[in-house]
Amino acid sequence: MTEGLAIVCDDLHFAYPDGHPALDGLSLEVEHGERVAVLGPNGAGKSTLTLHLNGILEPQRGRVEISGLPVTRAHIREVRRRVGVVFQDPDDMLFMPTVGQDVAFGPANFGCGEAEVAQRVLRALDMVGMSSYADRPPHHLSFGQRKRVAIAAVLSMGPEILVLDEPSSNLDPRSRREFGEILAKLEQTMLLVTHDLPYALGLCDRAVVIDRGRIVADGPIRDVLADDALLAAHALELPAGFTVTSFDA
Amino acid sequence: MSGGGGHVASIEAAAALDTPVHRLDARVKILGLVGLAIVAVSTPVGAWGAFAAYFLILGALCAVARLPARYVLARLAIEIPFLAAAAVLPFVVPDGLALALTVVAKAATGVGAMVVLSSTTPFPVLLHGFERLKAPRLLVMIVAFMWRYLHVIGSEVGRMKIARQARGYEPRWIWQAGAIGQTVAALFIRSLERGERVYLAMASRGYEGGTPTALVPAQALRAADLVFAGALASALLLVRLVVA
Amino acid sequence: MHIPDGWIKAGTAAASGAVSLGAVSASLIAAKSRLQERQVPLIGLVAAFLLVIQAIHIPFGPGVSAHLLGGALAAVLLGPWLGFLVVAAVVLVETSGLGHGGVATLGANVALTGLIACLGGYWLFRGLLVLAPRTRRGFLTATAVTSWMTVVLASAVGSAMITYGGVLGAGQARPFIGVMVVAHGLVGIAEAVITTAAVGAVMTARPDLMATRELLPATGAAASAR
Repeated sequence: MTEGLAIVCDDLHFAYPDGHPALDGLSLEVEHGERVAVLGPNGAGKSTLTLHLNGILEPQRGRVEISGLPVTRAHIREVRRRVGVVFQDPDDMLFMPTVGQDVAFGPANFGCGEAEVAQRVLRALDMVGMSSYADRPPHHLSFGQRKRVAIAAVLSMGPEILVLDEPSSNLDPRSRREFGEILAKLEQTMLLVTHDLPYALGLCDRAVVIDRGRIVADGPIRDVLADDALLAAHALELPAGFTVTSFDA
Repeated sequence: MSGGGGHVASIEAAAALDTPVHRLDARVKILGLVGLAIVAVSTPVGAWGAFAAYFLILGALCAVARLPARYVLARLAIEIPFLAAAAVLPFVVPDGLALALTVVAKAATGVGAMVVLSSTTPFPVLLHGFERLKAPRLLVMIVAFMWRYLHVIGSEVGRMKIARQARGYEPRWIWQAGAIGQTVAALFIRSLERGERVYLAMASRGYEGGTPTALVPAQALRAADLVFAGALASALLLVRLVVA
Repeated sequence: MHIPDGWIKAGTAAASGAVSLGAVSASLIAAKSRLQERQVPLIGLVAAFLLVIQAIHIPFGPGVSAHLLGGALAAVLLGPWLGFLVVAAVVLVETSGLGHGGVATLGANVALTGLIACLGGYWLFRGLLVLAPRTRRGFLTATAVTSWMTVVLASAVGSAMITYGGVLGAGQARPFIGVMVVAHGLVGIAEAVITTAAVGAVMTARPDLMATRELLPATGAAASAR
């Protein structure tokens, strides 16, 4: 029953203008409320997949559906409201003079009135613990703070699905933990594209491994991370001294 | 380029003040100040009373807008190369002195009018003003992105400067054209890639071109706007037809 | 060059204004159908880049100063119509934001940088490509020559406007135009260096974005996309 699924990717094929094939028959289904870690070596197609989920890129073959809505030109606006993408570098996402205006950018684009936008901004900043920073310019904030504002800028649109690209990269240990706590409290369906395997383990129940444009593994995250041969075959490594045992040994 | 960045920053600072002139509707300011410049240009040579009147009007606007004198003079400095050119006129053209002074006055009025406009209207508001005056959407979009990418270039220049200085190299002269060329190439590509990522982030949050009304509320004209428009129009007509 | 208010006659201003307006209208129609969403960053960047390089002012003595233009850059990267609109937008921002270029002379300035340097530059570029070998070096040489020639040509026409069609008068035409052309001949070298560097970079990294990509030399690697 596809209406019940948050994300459906069916046999996606996509190649960049220079001919490099990024997605080579990728199929994926994600249910509402799931948290899925998207793992894989560099160049595997993780970022390309991300950009297909909100229609930035169109597959040359195959289709994408978000909560039953096909991702096509006709529905692009609604798709982008439902899918919030948090890019890796917060500086790519924060381009307005103040934090408040950055968080307002999304809902304003979707036609919310001034009062509603203000309300959403307040709520979103509250969720990430940045309420008192609404009138500050983003470049006055620390990196960790900018990452939080970037999430708020997406939450203010009221998305059902969050896609996060390397959420923990470049964060100091405390910010990394605080950020993880924020993510843990969110109720949206979540896709976490990351190299930080322990981080994924802390947040997600399920993991898919992408390599050379297709899914090569899909299962409970503990099982995937406990499979040493699988990790080695796709250039994935747990940090030194870290082992994961599956509970179904 | 850091000098240019300083210019932009000082204009943005001036435009962020809050005075009656700043609060005027952008459309009224655009039409009024453009009109002033055009009336000035159409004024015959030697009509000193008229030019004095134009300067008075602009001066009054600067005063009410609390624009610092030093700032205004710095903005007018863009005229200086042409002052030198005007100085040549008395020697090559009959009645050249009156012509030279007229030309300088017209140019200064034009620059002054635009200085008042850009110094009392924040850029997004100014652009929105043009939008509401029915400027073509494609042009507005180009200008919006020009402004945004100005800041992208600025930050990339900053990063590259640090990297270069750390290696002790500052290409500046024509025989270092190769190094200048490489710097330009690197700056261009880095700015392009950064700009693309910013654009992706904007599109992902629903951006489709145009300014959403919640960000720059579309206000109706107030009494103050109409009074200003009327007063300015009457003053210009009076000056142009009677004094000139 | 950017002509300030008061330097050209009403007739010159009106005529160049009308021509520029027509060109803008035509370009809006032509560009709209050609514009692709993914070109937007390049458009914005070229516009910002032009704004920056046009602010570089090189004095040559009393009354004679030269600026870089960027018209050829816009033409080679964005094509004639989009390039022209970008140039027009830049001139508009310079006038209304910085007072660089007069209000009544807006049409004249758009004509110089847009019609002559960009549109004219585009057709000059196409002509040179016919003569040049279809290699990277050939493409970039054509770019360099176009950049240089557009700067010199625009300065000549601008000087003509100020003399024959303006305040300096026809009597001053030959010396003034002569001096300006020589000055811009030197500045044109800088224009050529900068334009070629930027075009070369985009050619290597993102040829798929260039409007003139069909004229690019075919490389050994996979063909560029539509």
